[in-house]
Amino acid sequence: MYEIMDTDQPNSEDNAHSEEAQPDSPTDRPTTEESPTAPLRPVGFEFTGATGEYFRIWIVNLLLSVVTLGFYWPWAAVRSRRYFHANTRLEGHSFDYLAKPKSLLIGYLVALVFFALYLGAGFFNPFFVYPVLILYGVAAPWMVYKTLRFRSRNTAYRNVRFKFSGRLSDSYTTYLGWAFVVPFTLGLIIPYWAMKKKEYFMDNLQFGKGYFNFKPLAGEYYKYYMLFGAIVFGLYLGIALLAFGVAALFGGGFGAAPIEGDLSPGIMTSMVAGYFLVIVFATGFQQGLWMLLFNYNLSVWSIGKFRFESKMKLFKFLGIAVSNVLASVLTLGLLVPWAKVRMAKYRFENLYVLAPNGELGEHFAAEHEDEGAFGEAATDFMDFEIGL
Amino acid sequence: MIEFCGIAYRRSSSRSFDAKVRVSERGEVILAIEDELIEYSKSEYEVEPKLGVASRVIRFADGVRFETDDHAALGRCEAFVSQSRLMRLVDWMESRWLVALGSLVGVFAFGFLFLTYGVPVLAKYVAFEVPQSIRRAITESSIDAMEAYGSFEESYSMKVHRKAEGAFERALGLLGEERREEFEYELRIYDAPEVGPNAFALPSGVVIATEDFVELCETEEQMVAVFLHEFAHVELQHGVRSLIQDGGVFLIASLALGDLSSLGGMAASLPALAIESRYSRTFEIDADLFSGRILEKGGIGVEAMKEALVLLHMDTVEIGFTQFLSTHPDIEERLEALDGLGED
Repeated sequence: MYEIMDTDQPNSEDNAHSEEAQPDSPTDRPTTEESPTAPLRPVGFEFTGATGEYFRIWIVNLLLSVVTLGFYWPWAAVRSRRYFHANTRLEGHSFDYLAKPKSLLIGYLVALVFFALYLGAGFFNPFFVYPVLILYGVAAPWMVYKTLRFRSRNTAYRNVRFKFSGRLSDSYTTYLGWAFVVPFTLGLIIPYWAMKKKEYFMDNLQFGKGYFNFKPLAGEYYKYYMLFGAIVFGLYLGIALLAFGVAALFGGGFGAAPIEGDLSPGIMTSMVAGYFLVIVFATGFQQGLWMLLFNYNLSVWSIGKFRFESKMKLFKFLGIAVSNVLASVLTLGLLVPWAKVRMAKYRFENLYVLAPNGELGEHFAAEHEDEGAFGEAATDFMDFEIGL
Repeated sequence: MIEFCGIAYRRSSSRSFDAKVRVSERGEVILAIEDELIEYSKSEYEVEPKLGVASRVIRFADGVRFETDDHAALGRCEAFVSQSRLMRLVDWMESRWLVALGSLVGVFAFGFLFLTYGVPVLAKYVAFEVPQSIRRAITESSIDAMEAYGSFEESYSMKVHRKAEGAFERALGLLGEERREEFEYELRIYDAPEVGPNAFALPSGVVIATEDFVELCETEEQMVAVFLHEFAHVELQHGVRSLIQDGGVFLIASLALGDLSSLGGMAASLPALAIESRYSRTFEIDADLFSGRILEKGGIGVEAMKEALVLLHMDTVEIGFTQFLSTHPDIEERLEALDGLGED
């Protein structure tokens, strides 16, 4: 419910944190004329959030959301996001999350309507969910576009905002257009598609007047996807027997309330084991692939003279990701705050800006724009809880 | 007059300056930045709500941002600066372990009460408002799924049909005036050796029985008892109610574990199943009692229901964990519930 800076979800918002800006030069090319030989040195990020503190914030806001039947949720979300922004520091300066709860409310309500439609349709007839899914498919690129704009505009560092300048039509090409190509290529296009989606965000991001550059190679995406594809296929074969147990259960578990339907202990055990195996492997696969690509994406990302580096290690990262999910599930969500702080710490402690002579400087140009009195962007008010 | 130091950024500029802020008792602020003194009235700035030990930020209407780690000083002027009262309260709550623990208890209590009372009451209300045409659609799609994915073949055994249909008509007769008009009762018999002896009801009134079930029953009364149990599921709309309840439970479980993002739904499935199986137990007991009551009234007696239960459970091994998660209560628990009925 409180999705923050997607410590868990491979996507974009974190990227919005993880960068530094460019000097006053308004060009979008790295310029080396000022100090052509200055060596790049790493400047590290810090994450100063604390588990106990965040736990209190999380549980109090969860309670308030629950007793208001969800209406407090936007306030809770802002608080949670602000916590993660404010505790992310670069050269001692923290990030700002500027969104106002009321701005989140609209996106939240739209999402609720979709969800209600989906549940309602599936309730009457499983086939009715398809029109809802199609509607969602058509709306999704617009939602992605709005969300990227919203989150970028509402993230600031040193009083300079980020900005997402991607076009809506590109969002449709990227998120919807490529989807139609997938079946004709037997899915072989998926790694390339994943790269295009990242590119849509990372190449269209601005910090003040500075433009980010994202120059990935499709070959690297294919390499990581193939590596993980091979691992998953091997594991899949290995646990096929367990899957049989689960399938047998589904074979017997339809219909409304059979008079005699106790699940046999064998099926129960294999179902529980299957559940945890699926969670462990799905997390491992999704997160592991995400991490490798994150490290890679950062290495081909730049703004002005600045480059980036993420030094996360695969097995260390997987250990954290998998134990986070298991701990959260086994404690019915109680350890979610611990898991999120732990993951954010690991990610930011391994994240660096590579700056000439290790100096970030502080002369970043900002755009003068139509902003509300207290810094809230006046133009955007849409944010969706979607995995980008 | 309260004074504190920090750093300030001018509008849309990343350059930081050492700065000083002076707050008057009337909430007016003077900002000293470089050689300049800027005055702001109470409506020209906003103190960002306190959030843990993160630096405090003041935003000014002209785009200036001031940041300080002097929590103590800002704390002293908390009462008269311009900021959100709601968020001050929230921060007060967030900074106390006792409140956090209270919230934890509150969340669990609310969750428990909502799942125990809220969801079932809501589901019951909605279930009876559902038009029969929708129930028919749910029934048909269940049967389609069953025939497509389960090893269900329609039964052609005349002997089985005669035996079952006689009991079905008798059960309908016993149901009598308790029957609501909208439900269209119909018996369908399937040959499904993999499923074994079983009978179940679908929301519109279709009752499905397997050949094995019909053959297992030793007396017609036992079969009548089971059919009445299935009628109860229809009359009380347990099928539709459990669909709605399961949706609600899944939603709540996803919200609780939703922080795990795309894994949220999957991670929520097992806890949701555990809760759903508790709902299902309640429905089974209710159906048993409904059936038992009509059997008593019709002169057959509650014994037939108990015999049928024992017959159907004979081949099931019970262990602790199965009992916890099973879709049906222990045979003992159900028999005891029926005993209670017989004593009345």
